[in-house]
Amino acid sequence: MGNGPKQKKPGSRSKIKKYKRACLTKHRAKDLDQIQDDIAKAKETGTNLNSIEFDDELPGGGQFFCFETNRHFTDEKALRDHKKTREYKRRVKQLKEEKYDPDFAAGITKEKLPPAHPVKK
Amino acid sequence: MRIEKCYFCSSPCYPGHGMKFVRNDSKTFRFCRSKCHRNFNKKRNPRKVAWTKAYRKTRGKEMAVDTTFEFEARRNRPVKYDRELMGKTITAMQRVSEIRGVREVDFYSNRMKDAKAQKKGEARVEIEKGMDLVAPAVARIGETEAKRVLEKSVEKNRQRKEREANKLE
Repeated sequence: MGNGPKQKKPGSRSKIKKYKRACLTKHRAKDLDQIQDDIAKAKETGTNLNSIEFDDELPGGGQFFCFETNRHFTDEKALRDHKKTREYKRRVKQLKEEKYDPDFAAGITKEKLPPAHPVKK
Repeated sequence: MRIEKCYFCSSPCYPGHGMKFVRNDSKTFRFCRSKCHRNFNKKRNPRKVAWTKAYRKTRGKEMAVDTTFEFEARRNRPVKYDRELMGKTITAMQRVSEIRGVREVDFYSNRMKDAKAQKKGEARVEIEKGMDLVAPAVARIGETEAKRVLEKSVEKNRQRKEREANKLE
């Protein structure tokens, strides 16, 4: 009879270097609204988010990129497997939601003013 | 000086309180306290966290669309100081907040209009579902049978009282 997997105390990983590093602002993953902006921009300009120039520094030469989760993969199969995951599907769902507007929540409207430097006719 | 609104919970952030996060695309986020900052770092959506204004407004728990909101705006163009204008603005602010208070009360009472009847209905359903706990005997023999037993006992009681009255005579 086993006792199941041993559970770690909450916060026990905070001192392990690799987990500590992931929390730094330097390694902050792209926010949802940034990705949404990227998608909107790509739609406007008609660029393909998947086609990226070959970069030796990136995994797989940067050729297998998932823009929804902002991750690079080493080969075609890894990318395909990733697109089957729950994580990826959840992210796609989240990206379809409307963007969060802090001004609406705070009840602040935008000021409407006449232009400071009106265009002379 | 500017009293900003918290990005996460939309409460006012006074100077010297909370913290400001500047993302690498130079967008700034102001937080009123570490609670909000932590929740932001966890990438939570404010619309899905129950204690934020965004949650309450999107679910219709609080007034979201109103003309009194039009007065508060982020004004980036400075206005030259004018004593008269200042006085007028302050009185207007007080009046606007007064009107908004009344409207909020109205909004709440309107939202809670059907609450009493709904709660009563829910309680009724719960009682019916848990009838065996409330009245075990009734639940066991069924409602029609229980009614019959009750009528019988009432009749018996009446007869007994009649007999006693006759004895007294």
